[in-house]
Amino acid sequence: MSYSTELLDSAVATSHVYPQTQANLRRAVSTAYYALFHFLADEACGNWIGPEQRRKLSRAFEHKQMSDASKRCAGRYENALAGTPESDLHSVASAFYQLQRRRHTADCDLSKVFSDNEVDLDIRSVRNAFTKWGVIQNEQIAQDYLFSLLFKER
Amino acid sequence: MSDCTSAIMEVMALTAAGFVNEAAIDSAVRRVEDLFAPQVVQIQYTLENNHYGDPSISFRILVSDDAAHDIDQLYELSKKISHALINEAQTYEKGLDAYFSYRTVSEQEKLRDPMWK
Repeated sequence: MSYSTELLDSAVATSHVYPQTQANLRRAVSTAYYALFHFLADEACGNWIGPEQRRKLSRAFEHKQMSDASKRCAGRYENALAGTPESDLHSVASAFYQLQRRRHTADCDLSKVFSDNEVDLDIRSVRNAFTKWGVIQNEQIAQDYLFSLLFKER
Repeated sequence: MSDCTSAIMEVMALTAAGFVNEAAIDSAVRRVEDLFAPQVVQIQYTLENNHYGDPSISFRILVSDDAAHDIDQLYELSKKISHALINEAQTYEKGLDAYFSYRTVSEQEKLRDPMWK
């Protein structure tokens, strides 16, 4: 089982801990975000030919860069036809930048309250992103997206 | 600041793309509420800067319990509503990062969250 899948399973388990607390719900959101973060980083690093450098390369990813790239991608394909690679990529990119914001709120903003459904939706969006990525991972636009997560446009 | 300037500031927020007219956003939000009624009970929003300091709009969408019998149903509905809000409020064109939170009426009754009143 991959680390990102383990993280997603952990998010589900944490969200179901009884009694349910804000602490558990917040941990679940944060873990769901990192499941998607590491999933995308692993996919990008998998393109690096030397396996011994992949671990180091995965540390080069920056949250802000990934958020900006995902936002641009989601905006570009907001009105893509359902069932197309563009639409699937939109689901992945949109999930990432939505989750990043929610992770920040979950970890840093105690003025916000989390509900069961909000957290379940976050987890569902990550699960959907994993599935959609499996469909489009070899598409050029998907590979371009991975590249944009690590490198700024010039 | 003059009274006139003050009045303008009340209805507009500054983003990278220029000033945002909150009245136009209000109208867009009401259209989406109508479009998705009765599944959508209420949509509220806050204009703010996100954790990077970028202009953003955070939508809080209250849905009926019937619209959320299971998470898959709520997930599909949430995608449609988010898409409609982005297009109607023209968030990308306005330079606003749009964020969405969904909860049900019964959840809000239990949580009594003042942000969602």
